[in-house]
Amino acid sequence: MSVTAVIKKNSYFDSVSLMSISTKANGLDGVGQAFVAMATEMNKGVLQNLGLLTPELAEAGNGDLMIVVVPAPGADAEAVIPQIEELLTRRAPAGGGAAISYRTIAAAAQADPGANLAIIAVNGAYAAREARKALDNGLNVMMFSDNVPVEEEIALKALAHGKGLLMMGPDCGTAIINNVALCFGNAVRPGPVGIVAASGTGSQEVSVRIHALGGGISQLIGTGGRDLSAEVGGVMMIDGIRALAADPKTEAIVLVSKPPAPEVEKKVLAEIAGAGKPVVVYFIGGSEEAVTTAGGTFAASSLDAALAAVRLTGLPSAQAPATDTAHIESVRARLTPEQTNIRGLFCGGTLCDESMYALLNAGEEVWSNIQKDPEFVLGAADPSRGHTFLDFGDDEFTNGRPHPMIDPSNRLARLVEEAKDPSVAAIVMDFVLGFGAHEDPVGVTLPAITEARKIAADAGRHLEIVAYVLGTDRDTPGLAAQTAALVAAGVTITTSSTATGEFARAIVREGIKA
Amino acid sequence: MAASNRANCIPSISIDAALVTTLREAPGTGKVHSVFNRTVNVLAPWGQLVTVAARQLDDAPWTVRADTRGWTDMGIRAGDPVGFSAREISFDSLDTAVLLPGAREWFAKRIPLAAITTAELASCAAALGGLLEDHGIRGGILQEHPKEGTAQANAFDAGIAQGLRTGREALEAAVRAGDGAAIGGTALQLLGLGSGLTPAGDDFLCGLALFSAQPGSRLGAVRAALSAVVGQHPDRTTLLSWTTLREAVDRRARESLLELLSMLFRHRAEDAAGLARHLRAPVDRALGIGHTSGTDILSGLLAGLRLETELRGSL
Repeated sequence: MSVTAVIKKNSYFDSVSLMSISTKANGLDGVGQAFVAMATEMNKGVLQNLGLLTPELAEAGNGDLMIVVVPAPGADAEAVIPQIEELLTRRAPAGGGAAISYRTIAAAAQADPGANLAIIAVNGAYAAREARKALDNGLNVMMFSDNVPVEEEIALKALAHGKGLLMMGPDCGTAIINNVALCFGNAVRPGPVGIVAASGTGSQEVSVRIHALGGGISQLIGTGGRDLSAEVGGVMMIDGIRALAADPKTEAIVLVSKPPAPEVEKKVLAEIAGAGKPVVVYFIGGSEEAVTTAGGTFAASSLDAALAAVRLTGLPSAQAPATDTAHIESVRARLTPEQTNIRGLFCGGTLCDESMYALLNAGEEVWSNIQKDPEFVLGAADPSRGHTFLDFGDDEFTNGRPHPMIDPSNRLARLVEEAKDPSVAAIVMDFVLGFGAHEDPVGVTLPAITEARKIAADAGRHLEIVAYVLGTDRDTPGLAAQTAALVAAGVTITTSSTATGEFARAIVREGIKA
Repeated sequence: MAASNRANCIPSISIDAALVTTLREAPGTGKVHSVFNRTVNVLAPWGQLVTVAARQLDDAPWTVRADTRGWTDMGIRAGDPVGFSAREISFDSLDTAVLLPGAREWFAKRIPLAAITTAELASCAAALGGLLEDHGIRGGILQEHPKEGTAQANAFDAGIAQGLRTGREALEAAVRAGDGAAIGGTALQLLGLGSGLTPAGDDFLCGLALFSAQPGSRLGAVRAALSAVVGQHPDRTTLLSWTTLREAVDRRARESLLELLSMLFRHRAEDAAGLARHLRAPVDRALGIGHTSGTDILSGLLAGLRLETELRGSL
């Protein structure tokens, strides 16, 4: 059997990276099988038993990483090697360095005079200091770092405001600036809608819906989740509105946030009159009267916000896909009288929030790790009860683990667990595509979906799995391929975050038998 | 604490007491071995692998926990020189130091087994086994269910899985037979077996070693055999894994594992459901170690529990 190997001397990858490299290597064109492992004696022994131990591999030591490739029939093994090398480069062990690195922000700014934005993703203890240096060098700042004291945030935003610069963050994970998505973002069409958002997945959802409705994005300015708190006072959202008001490519502005502090909401809404452009406001649970009085367009959902934005910018007849009521009926018909509960397992906090609110607004009781009502708060280790909606990106779930948009293993285990509960009618999930997200979120989840459905089927129940894929046809992997894989597995697809909540609510309302 | 003139000074939260003593006696210069998001492993001047961990990790042997969330953004690189003294661990090329004075000293707790009845051991094993079966990450020592929807393992993974299964069965048989030489021989079949930085076979041995090393265990022969294997074969696995295993033989392991053992026996008198409820959170924490490492270590602990139960029952 032909075999090709790459050996990396004294290379140490964490186990999640190793698994990822292995998965990707096995998916490369021309690869029959690929093995990735440390070159210990026992692992080399396994290769020897398989007839795959080359003299080069035999020489490798305990601290060396070996990637062994058996080419597919007819494939050229040598052609695969550069791709394997590329995988390793992309997942280079920490400390391996990037192609260009600068020791200071000032040096980077000096080396590239055209640069006008710095992304700060250092430890929170140092983030403010680095952001200050960036602002002092005339750079706008996107601060991915979290755990930055609120006093620092206030001071940085005041400094940026005084210099006429943007201070996005701390804890800002999504932005699209001049058609370039930064950190977690989606590949969307350029267009006339500008977004200012204090919510990461909320802004991703609005941008993706606008794209799906035929519209496009001029800028997406993140503010960081704390910006609309009473302490920070919405400085960045107000500066963002003003920046978009002055941007000739922006024809309408959309504001996205979880519920702001009341006094800050008032200040932000007061900016609408001076914007000189239509402003759509989607504050989850916000007041329609306050927005309308301020001269804005109220949006009750992320989909409403996207629809309003595209209708205001040249697509007046844009329509959201209709709800498939016949499908709701068919789901209802397959449930037993005991199946009355929905379980929501989400990667995106705002997506979880929006679906949860759909049930809460229908008068249902919902338990969740992000519930505002302390009586209905669930911990990460608590078993689900009644309707349970979990945000796996919340700190309690991510402690010691990557975000579920990158590492979905926590959610997979919970999916199988929920399937054992005979009271569960449907499990609702989101899949987030785009830059920074898992390379195949659907593929990695399908075995658990199959297992969950089998558990229910063996117990004589139908288990409805409902999925929303947040992404576009321009993302990699693309929306169509990910959706098709779910459909092939018998999963019901919803067309937006808003529709996901509505579907769950419809099952509950119709599904509970008298 | 005296002020340092470094550009970046990171306070430390806690430190292995054994490391404090060694730093006092053997200062010098080491070098960075490997860098991960939450840990930097450093080869100390006395040849020991020392871990500088982020604050969200738990205490562990030869580890200092620093008040930082991660390391990968700091520019630390493998091979960088590292200064060791009683006052600080310093990354001189980055003008950064982890300051040690004021750190809480950590000692590995011991879990005495002598007072625990056979019935209680069996109950604990049942509770832990149930949680592991339901929540463990498969793919290492805990193998995939032969079910629909599971991806077909490739030849290498299948070979590893077979080696882990046969090695584990042979080791358990040797323990039941009380055959020290066979225990050592079968442990050697597992040492270094598995794809990760801490191979699954090592993780399993680590759990078994940690249990057998607790005071009052009847698995003294296991500890002795594993101690000999580890001492004689540092070249059979990665340095990180070997260090972890050697510490486990000395009943020292990450605090989350010791806490789990402690919880197991603190609530041993409760019924199975109650015990499982108490164990769920610490088991979840332990399962979060690595990809399958937590599961593999707990599988070793569980094997120790079951073997201890069997051996006591046969007295």
